[in-house]
Amino acid sequence: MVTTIWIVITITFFLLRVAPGGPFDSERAVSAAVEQNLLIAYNLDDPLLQQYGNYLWGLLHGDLGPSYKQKDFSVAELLFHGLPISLLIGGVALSIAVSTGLLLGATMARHRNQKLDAALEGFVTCGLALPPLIAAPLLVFLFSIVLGWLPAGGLESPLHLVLPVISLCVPYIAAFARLSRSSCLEALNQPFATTAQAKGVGNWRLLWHHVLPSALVPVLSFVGPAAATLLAGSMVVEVFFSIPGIGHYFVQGALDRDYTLVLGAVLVYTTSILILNFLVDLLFLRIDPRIQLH
Amino acid sequence: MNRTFITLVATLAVAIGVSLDAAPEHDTLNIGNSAEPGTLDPHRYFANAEEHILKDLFVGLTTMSADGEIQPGVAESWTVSDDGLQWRFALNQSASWSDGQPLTSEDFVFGLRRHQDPKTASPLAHFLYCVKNAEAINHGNLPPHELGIVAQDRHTLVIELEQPFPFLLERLLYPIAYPIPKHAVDKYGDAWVKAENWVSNGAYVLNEWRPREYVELRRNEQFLYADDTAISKVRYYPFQEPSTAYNRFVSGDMDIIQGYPHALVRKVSQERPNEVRNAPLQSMMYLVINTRIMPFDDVRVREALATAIYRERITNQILGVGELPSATLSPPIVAGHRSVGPNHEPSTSRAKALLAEAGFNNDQPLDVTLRYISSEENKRVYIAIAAMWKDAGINVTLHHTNLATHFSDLQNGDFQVAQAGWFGENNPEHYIELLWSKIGPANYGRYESQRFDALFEKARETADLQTRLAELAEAEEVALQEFPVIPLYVTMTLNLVKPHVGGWKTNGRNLHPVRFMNWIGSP
Repeated sequence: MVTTIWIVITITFFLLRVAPGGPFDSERAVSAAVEQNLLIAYNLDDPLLQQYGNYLWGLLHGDLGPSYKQKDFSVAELLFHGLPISLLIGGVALSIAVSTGLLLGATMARHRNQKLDAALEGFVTCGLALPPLIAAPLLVFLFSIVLGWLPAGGLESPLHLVLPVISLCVPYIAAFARLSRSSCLEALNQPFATTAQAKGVGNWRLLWHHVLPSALVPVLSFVGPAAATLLAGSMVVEVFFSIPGIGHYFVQGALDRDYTLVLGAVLVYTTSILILNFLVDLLFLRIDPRIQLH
Repeated sequence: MNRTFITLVATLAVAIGVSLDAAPEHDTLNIGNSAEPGTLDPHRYFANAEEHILKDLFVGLTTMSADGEIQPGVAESWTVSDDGLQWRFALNQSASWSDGQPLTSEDFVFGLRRHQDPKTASPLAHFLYCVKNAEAINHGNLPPHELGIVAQDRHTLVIELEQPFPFLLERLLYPIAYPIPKHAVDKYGDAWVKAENWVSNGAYVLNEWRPREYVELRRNEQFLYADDTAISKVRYYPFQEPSTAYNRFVSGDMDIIQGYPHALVRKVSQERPNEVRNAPLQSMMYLVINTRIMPFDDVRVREALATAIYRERITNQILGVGELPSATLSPPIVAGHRSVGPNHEPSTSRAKALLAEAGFNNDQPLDVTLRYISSEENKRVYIAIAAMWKDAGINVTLHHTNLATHFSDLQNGDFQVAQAGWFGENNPEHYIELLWSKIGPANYGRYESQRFDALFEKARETADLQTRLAELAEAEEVALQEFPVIPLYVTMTLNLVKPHVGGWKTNGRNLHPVRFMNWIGSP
């Protein structure tokens, strides 16, 4: 795990420096002397390898460095403030996406090739075609501007979470529904399902107690990356709803050449993926007895 | 099950109803700022989004009225020596910091020395290089105490200049010239800018800063004119995306927004005429030509590029919300603007003739790469310019990048023709100096003209304002005959203000101190 993080950080560090421009380039040109003062103040005048060594040394001591653009905060302070917000929104979106997706998928499998299956399939297809970039403006227009029911952005109350969470989770509901439908259908064709049906087990009991646990394995393998993406924040949703999570830092930090901020965000994202994948692997052990820990 | 569901829905409906019924009280003014501030340390500030907040937190020697006019700040009055080199400011003896400590001339001395200290790394240090020894100090060649600023007594401050600079009072409006609470900086170091340690002398103090959420200010009871400050609390919300700001304004969350999508201007003007406050910004959008590379070192080629552009078409048909076409680099709206641009009407045929003189024709056309900053508004403008050039037989390649890459390329001279812009002050010198060969990277095109330099440097030595303005106009006209830049237009600021906010006035600086605002009726 540590090796993976080190490799990702190293690649990110040097890729960022390859990009043209620097943190102090803007429409107000500064003189060479002023730029030199800035570079010295942030130790950006040191040789690149020395900067890399200093960054790793700081990282080992829990210091993520200063932000070059948000000068009154350290990177750690910014991430510390933004991460709980991203976790909250991502966590709610993930819970809704997994539970609703599973429910829809199981229902579609239960009613396969019937009208309900076709109707839900239509909903799922629409969901997949509605990334936050499209869903967010539509939802705001309808629920905030036209109806005036929900806030258009900000984070002042639980109500402010409704539209961002919906924008974020709709495509994931669809993806989980698709996955769980096909896994359930596959499990329904297994001999154990046929045996259960022959023994007279009811349809819903068969689905929930026999089919779903077996169908969960492929679904869970998607939970890891989906969770990391949702929990680490979404740039589009954050910008559109003015939510101060950390997803914004990936893109804006990169555009601003705020090297340390991007590195901090990448560190959080990488660590999240690794931890979540590990947790999913542990869940596999519990759900599927055929899988063993070596 | 059904009963539970109905109860749940009813509870949600009530919650939504209660939340929406809870209209904001006359307590907090919510302002949509153009971006997240990078800092609230006046010496490290760089961007407009920071200046919007800082002007509520501090007052300098001079300050501005609601309509942007310069007026006394901490300094009650001032005098200037005949040679224009020494400015003497008499400070208001009642001025104090928000923690009750008296504000004296020493605080200004400390502030201006700190600003030039290379360790502070102020990005706008060069804005005050006019002060004696400032440049040498900022380059590390002199210690900060050699700066030409003296506290003659507790309430008298003297600033000595390198050269006469009649625009000093305006330059002192920038946050870089604000006083800094020495006692707070000594006590907390760089952490003095944290809300819990905050001390300032403006109409407001920093109450809370939640990164990328909002910056909250509350009324400073120690402010010189605290009795006139009608609004007790202000929140600045950062909006990276103007459409988000617009949505939140329309839904009632914001009282003021500083920027909304350009594409919505006509619709908003029809639907919300009482809330629209668009105004020209003291600014100039222009094209800069790299005069150091072939064939753009040929003045005929540069003139052809300029002559083929029909500015009015850009401002009237492409933009069309009040942008002002300009043939001069100094905006026609600034005080003391006198110069006139090259005496040529736009003409595609003349552009073709000039290109033919320079050796370009249909068989061997001029190839130009035109660079601009990625945005919807820019895309429309630069496609139009490319079309005008194509009419003149020029092969145009459009190249757009993000802001950091764009200006990095400009400063490195890695361009042929590119978008540029400048804004800020209400005097022509602020813009004309961009053509000075000694200005540094801001002269992106590396234009160098001995004649222009001589005229401009002569103007810089002139103390008398009217004479100086005339000399500046002459210098600009000389430079524009050589087409190092192609001025395009004065840009517009797009603000929306709710009718229940009073005291907000349009001004060319697009700065609006909250201390002049008040509530009208109920929101």
